[in-house]
Amino acid sequence: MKRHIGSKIIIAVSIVAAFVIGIYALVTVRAQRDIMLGEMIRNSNQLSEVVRRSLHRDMLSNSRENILDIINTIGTEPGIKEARVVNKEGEVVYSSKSSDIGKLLDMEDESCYICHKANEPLVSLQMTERSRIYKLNPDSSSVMGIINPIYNQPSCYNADCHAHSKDRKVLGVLDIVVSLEAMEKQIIKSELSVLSFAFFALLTLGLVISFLINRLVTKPVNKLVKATTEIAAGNLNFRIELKHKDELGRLADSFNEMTRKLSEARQQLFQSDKMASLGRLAAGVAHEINNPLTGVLTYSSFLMKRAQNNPELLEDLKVIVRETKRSREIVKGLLDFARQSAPKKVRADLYEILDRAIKVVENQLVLNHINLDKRYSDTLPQVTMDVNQMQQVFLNLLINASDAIGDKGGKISISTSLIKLDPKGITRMTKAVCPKGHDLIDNELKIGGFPSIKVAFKQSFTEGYINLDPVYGRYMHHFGKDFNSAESAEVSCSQCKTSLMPQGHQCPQCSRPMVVLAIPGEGNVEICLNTKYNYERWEKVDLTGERDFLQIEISDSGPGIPEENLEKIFEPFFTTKGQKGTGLGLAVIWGIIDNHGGTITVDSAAGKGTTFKVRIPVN
Amino acid sequence: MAAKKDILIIDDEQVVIEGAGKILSAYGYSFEGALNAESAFSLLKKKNIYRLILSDIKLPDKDGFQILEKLTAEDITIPVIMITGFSTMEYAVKALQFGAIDFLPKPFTVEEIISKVMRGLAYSDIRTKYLAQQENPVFDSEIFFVPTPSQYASLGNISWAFETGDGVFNIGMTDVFLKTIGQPESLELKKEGEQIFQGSPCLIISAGEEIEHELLAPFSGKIIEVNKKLVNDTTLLEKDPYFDGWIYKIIPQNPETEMQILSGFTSYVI
Repeated sequence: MKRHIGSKIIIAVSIVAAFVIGIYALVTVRAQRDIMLGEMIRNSNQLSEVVRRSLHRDMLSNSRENILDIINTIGTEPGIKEARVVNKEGEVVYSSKSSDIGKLLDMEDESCYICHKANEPLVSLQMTERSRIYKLNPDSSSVMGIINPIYNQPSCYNADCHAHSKDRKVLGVLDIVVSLEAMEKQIIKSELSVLSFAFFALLTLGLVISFLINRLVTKPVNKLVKATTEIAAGNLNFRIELKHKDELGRLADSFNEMTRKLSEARQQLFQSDKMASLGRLAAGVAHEINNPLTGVLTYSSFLMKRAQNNPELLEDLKVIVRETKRSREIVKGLLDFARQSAPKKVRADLYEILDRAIKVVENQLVLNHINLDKRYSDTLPQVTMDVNQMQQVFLNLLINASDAIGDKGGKISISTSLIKLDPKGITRMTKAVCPKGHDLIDNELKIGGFPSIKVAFKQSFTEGYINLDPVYGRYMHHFGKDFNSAESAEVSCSQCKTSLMPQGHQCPQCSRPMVVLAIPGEGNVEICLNTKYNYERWEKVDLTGERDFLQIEISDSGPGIPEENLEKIFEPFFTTKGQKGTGLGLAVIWGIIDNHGGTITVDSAAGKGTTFKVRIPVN
Repeated sequence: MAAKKDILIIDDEQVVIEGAGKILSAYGYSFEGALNAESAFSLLKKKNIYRLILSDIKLPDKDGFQILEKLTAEDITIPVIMITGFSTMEYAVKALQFGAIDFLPKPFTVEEIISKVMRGLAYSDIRTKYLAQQENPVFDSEIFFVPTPSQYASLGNISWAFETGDGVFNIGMTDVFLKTIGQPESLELKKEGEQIFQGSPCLIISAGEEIEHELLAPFSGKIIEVNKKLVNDTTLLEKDPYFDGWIYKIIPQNPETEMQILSGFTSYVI
């Protein structure tokens, strides 16, 4: 339970809500109780006063029946427990309870206590002091006693009976005891209603919050969590489907972007890794196979020397030597290609290379009734490339195309063109210096395989280093965990701390000052560190415009490549030719093109034919 | 004392030693074999009984480069030809860099091994004479060869390159190399516009007895001119090996890196 963020928020909000609603309920109940009690006291006092006044005349005339009658009448009123008159000596003179008449009360009795608690009895009582609440016995409901002193008045001591002398101030008290049972019931009732309101409010609040949190937090967070486990499990093609426009939505977007880049990087890495293991394998195989081949070749060529006088034997030996030499070439070729040895690049004419490759397969194409359609663009610039390796590329692509078509006939078209691609994302900063000339290139940390550019940053609370992406317009900067891209930073040279943020370079997107790197001989690069906009400008490169690439497309009218194989065709050892193929051709091609800084892509669908597109930079 | 042998073959494969040995014996050379570096060095303790060493690069106890280092350290001046199944140009250049005089990729034919061994033995003799003369200089001493001018870049004792200006390099053969071949009968030259690669053959020289020698190029680049005089007059190579006897004019492809490789070579006294 505690492991869910939603539950935690719900519990926290519920506790706060329960606290607030509880206080509110308590205050409300208290206030209501005070109001009801005040009303009760006022009413009872009024009653007591009315009774006292109405008794006054009967007292003067000393008509005891009348007085008792009134007291009894009052005593029978609902809610009135008892009404009685007590004289100064503490004797109950009249009471609605006939058994009480004549009883002598002591000073501790509830009716006497208020005035007689001090040594000198009180003479006058305030309105509020007249009432007291007590229980007749511990189990019964509370009662309220209202005492009303009966003061000595001229009419009393001047009466004919001379019952009271003039010097007495208080003659006795009228004591009315009112039951509070009804009121207490009322209070409990209202307490209950407030409590149930509070309970329902809390319940409703809890439900609404649960619903909202589930929708706005738990579900998207669960999706993110699921995505991370998917990624951790190696499924880099997983994408989060989140329509939210809030921070979680943005998190999901950046997460998707991250996995996409990760997936690309892994693809690349995977490929290079495979090429590397392939290289090791080939090296081992070459070495091991070359030893037995040495035995065969030395002995056979030696025998050939000795069999000069035996033409029949000589012919056979020649075959052995020839075939062994062929094996040697195969092993050497495997080694050369798989090793991805640094290309021996020279400036060369693409058409020469293409035509040489075509010459090799020409016969095979004719035999298989395949038409070759050459659509060469008029003039192409010379390009620096490894002639042999590039010839291998086109040769392999042509053989693949021919194999795909088979011997039933078809068409292969080769078209070339000069295309332009935006320099953003393909131009790299190979050098970068601070105003004092310090080299900012960091060979330790590579981004996308290239040395990054290291600068120092300072923000309000932290400072540290940033490694900037050397590829213009790719924005794969490494900020480190201390950097807050939402806040502007002061960036300086990682060695001499000279500022790299000169005046007058504001980001046109967010108007923050930008980092300016001097690229020797290539002008300045301006970089905004606000990842929200990812702005970069390299004026000199932008001015040179798009970069030129040679594009060579080789299409065949074969059956096409099923979608499930498209992803795998550049993987080493993947082949559909069965025993005929090694599964190395396209992997090797991929490596060669990659070594030339170019790209190779495939476009195919079952039944539609296949097109390989090779792009090589013109430099 | 053991009888003097011409060649020591170091290879961890018995069949290689036997195969090569059969060929060498047929051509009248004597040999001994060692299956690892340790037994090779114990044979070498009997000082100077070999004229030439053929060594595999990959041995169970040491690699060929370590053997070259140990030979230098122990002051053994017998020339070494590297043999390996790992036959790439980088390896060839690296072997030369470490002081080997030549490189023989496996598997090899009779012609290939004999061509290299003949040159290696000739070289060994020149070197022995030269070193003897250095130790004991005599006035009016015999000149064995014309050394490569110091400002020239050279690939071991095989070929040289020199910039004539405007990024054009002349490529030629060292006099020592020519002396190890003897008199060339004919040259098989590459054509203008063709590519040559550092450490790979760029010229085939026939010197009789069906033996062909390959000249390894010191630089990679595109041939822009071939010395036509050489076709008719191969003696030019001998008469003026470093000037008029140039073979190709090339535009090198990456002279800086390749120059760095050449300057990293063990300095060849001879």
